[in-house]
Amino acid sequence: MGGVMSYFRGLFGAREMRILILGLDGAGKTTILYRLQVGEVVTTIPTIGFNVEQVEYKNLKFQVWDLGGQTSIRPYWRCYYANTDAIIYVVDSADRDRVGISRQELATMLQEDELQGAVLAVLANKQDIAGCLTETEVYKALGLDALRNRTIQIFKTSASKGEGLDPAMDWLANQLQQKK
Amino acid sequence: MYTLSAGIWEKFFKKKDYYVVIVGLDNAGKTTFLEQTKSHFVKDYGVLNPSKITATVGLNTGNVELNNTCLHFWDLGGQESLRELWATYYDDANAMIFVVDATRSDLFPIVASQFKEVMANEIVQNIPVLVAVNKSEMEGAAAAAEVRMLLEDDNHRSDLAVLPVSALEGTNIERCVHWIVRSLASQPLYL
Repeated sequence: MGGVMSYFRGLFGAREMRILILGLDGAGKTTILYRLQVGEVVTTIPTIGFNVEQVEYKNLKFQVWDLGGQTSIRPYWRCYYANTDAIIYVVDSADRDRVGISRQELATMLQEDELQGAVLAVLANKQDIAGCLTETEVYKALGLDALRNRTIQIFKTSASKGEGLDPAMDWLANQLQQKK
Repeated sequence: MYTLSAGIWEKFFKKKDYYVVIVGLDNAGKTTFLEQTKSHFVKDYGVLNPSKITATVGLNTGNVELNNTCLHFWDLGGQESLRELWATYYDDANAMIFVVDATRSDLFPIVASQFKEVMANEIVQNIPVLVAVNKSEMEGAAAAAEVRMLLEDDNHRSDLAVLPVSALEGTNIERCVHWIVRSLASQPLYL
């Protein structure tokens, strides 16, 4: 009987996966969230607080939280860490000056106990801007090569053009399905 | 006296952690190899659908426990631009798996030069290296012996093995893992 139940649960996907979208201000988090949900570019203003939406992708339901990225509100990210299945960390690849800050924020975040089991997808966003960092450069600049106990994947995206988001979501869906 | 007995106790009964880095050209089957390994050795592991595995740009991890050793696998991206990242993982690695796609004989010159480059690293010269000749179940796949001819390992001081495997079907995967465990156990360095 239990087997039958779990079969149906697998079929309907009872549990929503919880995903956090994090990153510095102006990285493109809100644009990505609404790209995923409605499939188009919306005009955004800096997020103070959070946006939360249910996103459906290939029969999987995600509850996606987009948290404000400004310096003053970054300390509140931690209030949302509990029960997180995956983190989407967004980096502005054209913002070479602040990639160091982004690295620090990421390192602080990944030390949290509550996020130890979460898979990490890094989006090197704004790839449409000329002269931006490549994905390998972003990988190094963020210090991802120092992380040894976590599954990481980096994707180059352009949220405004809608490029690169599908592979990232495919990968996340795949990883999370396996975790279920 | 206490230190001595504690040391002996540790040597025999403490769980040992080893780190294994998986490298190779892109699309050689590194991630599939890791997934297959996990499905063999990790209980109740929900294996990824092999057809859904995409190119790795980053790191896949896996932990396998065997007797009293724990193997931590790092599966790295193999695309050309990512190969420079491999070396950053060598410092902490205790063993290496080099995956070769046996069906792509056109890439063998690149395999050879890449292997040579990997072998130029002093850390790699001192750790066991297993060359997994993958996709050996496919028609037209090169034999392990043929791949062995490509590999220059003049400066290698540790164990080297070349095994034909099929990451897709799981052939020889267990053998590979056991070889690594055995080879690591025989290293006096890691007492």
